[in-house]
Amino acid sequence: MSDKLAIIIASEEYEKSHVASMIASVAAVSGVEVSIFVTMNAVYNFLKETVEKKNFTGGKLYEQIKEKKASMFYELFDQAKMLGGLKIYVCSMVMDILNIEKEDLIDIVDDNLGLAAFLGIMDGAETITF
Amino acid sequence: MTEEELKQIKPTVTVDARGTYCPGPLMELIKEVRQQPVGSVIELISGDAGSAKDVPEWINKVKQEFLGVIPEDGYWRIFSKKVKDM
Repeated sequence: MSDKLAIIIASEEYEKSHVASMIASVAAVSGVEVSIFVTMNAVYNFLKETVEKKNFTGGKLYEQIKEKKASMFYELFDQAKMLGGLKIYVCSMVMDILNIEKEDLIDIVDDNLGLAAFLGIMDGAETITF
Repeated sequence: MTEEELKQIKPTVTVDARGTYCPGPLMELIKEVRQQPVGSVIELISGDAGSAKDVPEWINKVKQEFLGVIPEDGYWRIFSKKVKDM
């Protein structure tokens, strides 16, 4: 695997954010530089309001994750940030459309970013989309 | 190492990660590998079947030393040694 990994999360489906956080965690602690780009409906999963109310859109596995009290995707991202190189960016176009500010997003979000900047990050990186 | 040899090992530290799901046990191990001095032997206890395969993969990737696994009833004891700073 290359030493750079870019993950794009576009879906609001909880399980997709969850698997992204799992892959990102293991990669980040294995010396891979990981960048996450959160866009489209996935931005709702990174809103403080959604996280506080656990108001996620999920399927059967999401129900099991809650029931078994497994770590949530934002907890996995948080842990990965403490242990390795991981940055989380939110699409500035979606933030404009939803009229949200950085303080509306959970603290693990590093910054907002436009596509040109994220394309620069993706350059030479392995890319996965959820 | 054989299972007999592993059973003789006195780990520097034991991390019980039972009750956490993948990648929880691996992340718990990583925290400990970071904190302990070079030369430490770290025992990870995991109830997650994937850990016995995941841990050696990760240990090799970050160039530490994997010592072996003892399968127990419903959990795994996984031994690693920190051989360099990280």
